Amino acid sequence: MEFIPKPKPPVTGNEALHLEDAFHGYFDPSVGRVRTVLNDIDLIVSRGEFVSLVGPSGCGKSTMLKLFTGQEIVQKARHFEVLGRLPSFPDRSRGVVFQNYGLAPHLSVLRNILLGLEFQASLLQRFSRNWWKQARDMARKYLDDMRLSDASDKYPTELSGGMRQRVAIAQTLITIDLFGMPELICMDESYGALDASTREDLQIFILKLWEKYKKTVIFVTHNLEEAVFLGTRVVVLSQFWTSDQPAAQQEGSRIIMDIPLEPHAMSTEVKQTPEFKNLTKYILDRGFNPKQRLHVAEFNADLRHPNAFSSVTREQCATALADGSAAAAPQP
Amino acid sequence: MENSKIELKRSVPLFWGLHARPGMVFGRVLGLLPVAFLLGLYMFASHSRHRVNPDDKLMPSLHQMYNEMKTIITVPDKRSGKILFWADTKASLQRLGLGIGIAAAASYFMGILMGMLPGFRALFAPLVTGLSNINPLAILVIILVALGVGENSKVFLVAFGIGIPMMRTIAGIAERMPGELTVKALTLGASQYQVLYRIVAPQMLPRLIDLIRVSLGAAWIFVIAAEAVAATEGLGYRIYLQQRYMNMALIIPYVIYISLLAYGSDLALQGILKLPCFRWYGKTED
Repeated sequence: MEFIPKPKPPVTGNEALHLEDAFHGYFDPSVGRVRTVLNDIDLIVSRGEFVSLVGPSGCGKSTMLKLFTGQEIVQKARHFEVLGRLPSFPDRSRGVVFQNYGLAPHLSVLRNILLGLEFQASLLQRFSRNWWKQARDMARKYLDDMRLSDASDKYPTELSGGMRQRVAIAQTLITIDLFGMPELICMDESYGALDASTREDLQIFILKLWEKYKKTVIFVTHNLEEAVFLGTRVVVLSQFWTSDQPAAQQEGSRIIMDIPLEPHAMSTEVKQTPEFKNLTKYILDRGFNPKQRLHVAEFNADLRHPNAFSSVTREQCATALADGSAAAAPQP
Repeated sequence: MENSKIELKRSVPLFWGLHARPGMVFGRVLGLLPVAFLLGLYMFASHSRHRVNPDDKLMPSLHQMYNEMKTIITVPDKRSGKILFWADTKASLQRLGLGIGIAAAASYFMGILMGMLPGFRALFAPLVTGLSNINPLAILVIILVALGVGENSKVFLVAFGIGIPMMRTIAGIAERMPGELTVKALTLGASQYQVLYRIVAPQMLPRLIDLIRVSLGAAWIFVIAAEAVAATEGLGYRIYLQQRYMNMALIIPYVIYISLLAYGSDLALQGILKLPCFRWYGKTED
């Protein structure tokens, strides 16, 4: 049987992310060498997609976001473009909501939310009373949406974790309305500290905002249900995979699943349907189980998104090819 | 639950043990006890000495101290016509204030730049580390020779003595600030300078005030030391001058006065930190 890895889709120039054979790692002093975190990542995300990025703890999701925002530079890659270029240092085109909030402690909630508008305002706007009024109204609207109206004059240290998280979200998203920035929004477990009800509210909120402006969103979450509900696509990054190569080359995480999701009505009721539950169960069973590692030869079955591709080599699935169990990739 | 009225009290020790609660009034009384004891001991010793020798200068009585202070506060000096007590206070506070002001401004500015800009840090960190290992009192003579015996050398000693360690501390705090804050500000559209003056600098301000509080003690040491070596007025100068006459009746109240000034300036700085604009500071951060 001829082995064909899933081929790379044609590049259209409308990619928000374009990664091919990307490797990244950190020097580990305890073993005296670089420990791979991201192993051969292939990923193409078109502009305007809502990508849910999930994976077991420690699989390198946050590391991947750091590469996108420009906090770190990828160590080895055939291609690495974010918004059409190799990401430089962090700037306003790529927004980020950090896991541990990253709020300015010396500014009140309202001032924190206004921060982005303040930074991006032109000289003319900065001196215009009208513009500031508009900006403050916008901030108040966000405060309302985030259920933070009562906290507008409080300082971050006076807030609970969930409230801080909402401030951080508002801070990043508010500039979209007035400045059209950021074009790529990286959210690192941004809903992790929210209670169930606020969480559903904000899920609808981010979906509406995304519908309106069609910015690219990379949404990292631990909650599979949330991932499947929000995304147009679920990407599973996992360190639980195996190949026929020596163990040293199996270090780090790969994208082992990439599943397109049906667009659905913006109602949280869809979470109760059997299809929805089956899909989350399927992802959980195949991607998150350290005891049942997926073989690279099996990836193709789960790389279902039209933009998904993988550069699996013959060496990586030598035995699978020999006994014929490696499935030929579906032709595009 | 109305019939289940039981006594919800347990006996709490007043003084002994982990669970002791001395309370407001008794706590104050406790704090005064050792002070009163030492004061009483002094007065007893002083009284004993005066019974043997009425002209004893080593342990003056409270009455002698009062008289000395009264003279220096109310009677103008014959030569200069100034009231020496106020002239001393003004001279010392001026040296202290100028020195601290220069140290604070320099360490705030340089500390933030060194903490945030790696290039700046590489340029200046070795120099500042080297300077911070120089004992300011050891180079007092050099300072006097280089800057003269006037005000400049005294202000410089204070500024140098506390400014260099403050600079290192501010740089360290700025360097350890979570990098996420910087990244977040940059992604919100801040320029590199906006990160410095909108995000970092305001956060360093209350920390600077805290640092000044910590450095006050050292600053007073340097002022008194400089005045002891070369001055014509100042609290430290007066003490060292009176030392020649063994005039403890003036020296002891002066020491107490200097301590009170130090305590007062510490309280004033604490008061600044309690202002509403620093409300965010000092709350538990995780």
